[in-house]
Amino acid sequence: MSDTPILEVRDLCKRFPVRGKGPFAGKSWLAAVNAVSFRLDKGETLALVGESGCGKTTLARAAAMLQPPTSGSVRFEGSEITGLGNRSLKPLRRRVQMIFQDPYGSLNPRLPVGAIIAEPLLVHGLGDKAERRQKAVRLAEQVGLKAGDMSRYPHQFSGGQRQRIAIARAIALQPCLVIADEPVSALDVSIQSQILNLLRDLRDSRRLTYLFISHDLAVVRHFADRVAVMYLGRIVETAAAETLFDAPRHPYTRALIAAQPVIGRGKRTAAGCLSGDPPSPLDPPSGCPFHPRCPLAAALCRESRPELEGDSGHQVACHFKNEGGT
Amino acid sequence: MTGFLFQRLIQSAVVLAVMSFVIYWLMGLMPGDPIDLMISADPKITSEDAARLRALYGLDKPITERYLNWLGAAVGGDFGFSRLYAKPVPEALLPALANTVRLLGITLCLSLLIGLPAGMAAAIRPYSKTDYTINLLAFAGISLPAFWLALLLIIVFSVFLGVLPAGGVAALGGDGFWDQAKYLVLPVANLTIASVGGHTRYMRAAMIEALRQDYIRTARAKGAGPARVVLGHALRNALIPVVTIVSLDFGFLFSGALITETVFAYPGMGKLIFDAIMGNDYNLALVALLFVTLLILIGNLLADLAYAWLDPRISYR
Amino acid sequence: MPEVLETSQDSAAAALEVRQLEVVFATDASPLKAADKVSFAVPAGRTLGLVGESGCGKSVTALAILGLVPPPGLITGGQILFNGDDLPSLPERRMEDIRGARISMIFQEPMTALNPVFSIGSQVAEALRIHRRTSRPEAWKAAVEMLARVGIADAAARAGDYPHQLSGGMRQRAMIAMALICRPEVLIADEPTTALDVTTQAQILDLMMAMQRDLGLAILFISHDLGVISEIADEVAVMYAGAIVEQAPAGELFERPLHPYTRGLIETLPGAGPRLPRLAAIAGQVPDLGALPRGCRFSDRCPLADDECGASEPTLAAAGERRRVACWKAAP
Repeated sequence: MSDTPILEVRDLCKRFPVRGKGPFAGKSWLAAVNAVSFRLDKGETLALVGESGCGKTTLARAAAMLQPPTSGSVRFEGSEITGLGNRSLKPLRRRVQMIFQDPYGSLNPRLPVGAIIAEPLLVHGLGDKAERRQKAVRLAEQVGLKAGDMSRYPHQFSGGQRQRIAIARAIALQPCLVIADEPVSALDVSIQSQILNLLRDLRDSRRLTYLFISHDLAVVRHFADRVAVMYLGRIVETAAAETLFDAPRHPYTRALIAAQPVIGRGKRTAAGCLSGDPPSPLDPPSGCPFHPRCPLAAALCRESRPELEGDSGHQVACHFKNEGGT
Repeated sequence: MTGFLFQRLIQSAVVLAVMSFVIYWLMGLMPGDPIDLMISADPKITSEDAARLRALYGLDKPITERYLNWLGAAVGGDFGFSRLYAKPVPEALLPALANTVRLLGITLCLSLLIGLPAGMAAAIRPYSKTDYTINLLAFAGISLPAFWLALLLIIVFSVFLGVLPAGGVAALGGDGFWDQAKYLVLPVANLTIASVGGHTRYMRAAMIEALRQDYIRTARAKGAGPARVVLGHALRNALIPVVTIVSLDFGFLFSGALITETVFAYPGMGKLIFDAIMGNDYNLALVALLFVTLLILIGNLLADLAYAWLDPRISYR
Repeated sequence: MPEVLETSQDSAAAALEVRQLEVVFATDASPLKAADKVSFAVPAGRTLGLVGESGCGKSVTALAILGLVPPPGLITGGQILFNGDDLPSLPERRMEDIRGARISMIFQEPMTALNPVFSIGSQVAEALRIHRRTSRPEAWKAAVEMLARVGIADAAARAGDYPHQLSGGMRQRAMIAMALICRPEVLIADEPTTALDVTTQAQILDLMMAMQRDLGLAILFISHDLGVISEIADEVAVMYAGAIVEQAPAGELFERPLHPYTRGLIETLPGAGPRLPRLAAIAGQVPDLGALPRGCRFSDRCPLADDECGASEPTLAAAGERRRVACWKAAP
């Protein structure tokens, strides 16, 4: 681990102002991401998992400076990028690309596919028109589109094909880091695996690093090297994927894994199912944010919040992390 | 809710104050002043007399100072004197205001009573014969120019048939209900035909949108019949956008009323403002325009309150 | 009623039976067959899982049962047998009496499926008032009880809440309360947990199973998620491009899928086994109903396809005691 990490995030916080009740009430703050730290090494895939509203998307966007963090430090290839202006961030924009859940929403419906794929090249002033077109065709072929598709429009493609277009556009500038926000959630089952295979092939052939956001634990288990589980804006457990799924130590991680439906396990039996909903980030519980839903919660958990602790391989934020239990 | 009302009242007061200055200033920009009219009426007035009169009426002062003087008096309840009607402004204004409120009130009610059900009927079976017929009529109403329709109505009902008066209002303290009402029929018909098409189209669009929503399928899946689906589930959702448009339309109806009132020689606000501006009657024009502003502000406030009543997702805190 | 007498022994106890159902969407080009000879039965107290990808016809089939196929869709053939009646031939007024009272349905997105301008209590109470002579206060009381029964804490207070004030899980519970307040015999659930987080999904699945036990419900559970289907269904029917291609008891289907499409679906999922560098994949795209291949509808994506598959379409035929499969290559 002597290499500088691609991305190193320390104590990142992202708060949003929320208007209070009444015409004269002041603003209050919603802490979407709270003191999160992680590092991402070259060629590694880190997955952020958690339920909707846990802050995983906000964290990724803040780390990529798409929405500047409220506080904390983000180092990209060793240099600090928080506080930089848009002009200084331009090289970063080139090296960090995003893929979204709904490819249709992110593709301009009035542009043919060739122009969509070539657009980042145009924006960054790379090559002349003929070169860009040539490059776009090469990219399209790499992601499994045909050269003949270049003059067609996004609505003429299926969801899986559109995601391929979005991926081709994302890799056009040869980024080193790709943030993939639920890239396969909107796709049909038989298409999901095609796209996951494509992302994996690109990782191997282009040494890509992924920050992979997903709520689907089976996909994460297959795709990620390391996993960070988020709850209410904080990372509650992080470990190598295999360790995390084979020996989860945070009760929330265990509950997530238990809740994931599994094929061929037979009809479900109502056991170990987490009750209630995640609390509102506007009014987080005292102590450990998970204690109102936690089967292990004790007085200590209501009073003090456990820190994320452990060796660099496996960190857990739980007072009872060393007790097995169910 | 009280907080919201309070906030809106303050807002309205600020809007009125700003509007009063803007209108005052715009009228100050108009060529001529009351003294010019006096001069043209009486050739014996010398330019010295005119200057003396201007000083007497304060017309030689800068516009901001004149405005502040007017504002001070207005806040004290003194809206000045209408030169044109030779009465205090409120006395000149109130009969016209009453006439216009009567005209617009009846028109709005009629237009909504016809337009909303017609729009609903069209939306229930889009692209059916009923829908095409209703759409055709609505477009006809929207497309007919108000002044042309007004002339047509006068020719048919006053000139040929001779059943309705061509203009004016009943004499003061006038007689029975019909004597009063017959003067309203043609102006109301004219304005209603001009606005009902729009209301029908808005309702149709909003209703089609509401009927397309998932909750309509849910209502049908729980066994609701067509009447309950349309009136119980879709109508209230469809009314939310319609309320916005109708309240915005309020201002449009006012300007439509100007033409209608002029053609039918109906002594309402439209005609009053027109006469006041042409006659350089500053005081009257100013207060009349502010009243129109106030009416539109009240219309918007009512729309906001109707929203809160229709849509629980909107809460005014 | 001869149809009822000649039912097979399997469907003798069926609360709902669909036979050779065809739903066609008339389009400008050519009519699209969204459901092609779909047949299945759901016995009381059991769950049939209907699984398939987008556009395979599973939702259209569900809507057809309730007579709610949106235009320009039409039921052009087959029967839907419920309680001795063939539903498509019933007049609309009689269907209204069945919907929500004897066959209920819940939907994927409870936010849009609930009317935003009415409180959840009144929407649950309405279901009761449509079908039973009940006074407003009585219906409200019954609605509060039902909301409490589906696990909404402090139901008396929550009943006055509007849909946007509740979490996704709570909204889906309210939908279930609305669907079950008249004690129907059949519940059709169209992707009821797809919009929910996993922990909430688990809660809703548990709730549905508990309600099934209490009321003896026959459930038709529609999902694209094989994992969910595996955990809730007793029997599974796999749909592809408008037709059922395989049907079997859940355990057998997932243990030994016969149709190459079913096998493909199961193998493409990242599973619990050892991590493989690549996932198995089904080649090609989910087909367009207007451009199905000749012969077997899966033949253009099927690894086993040969000339026979391109020439004629296999019918859904018995393969073992309780299994059916539509494939020329399926090992018996």
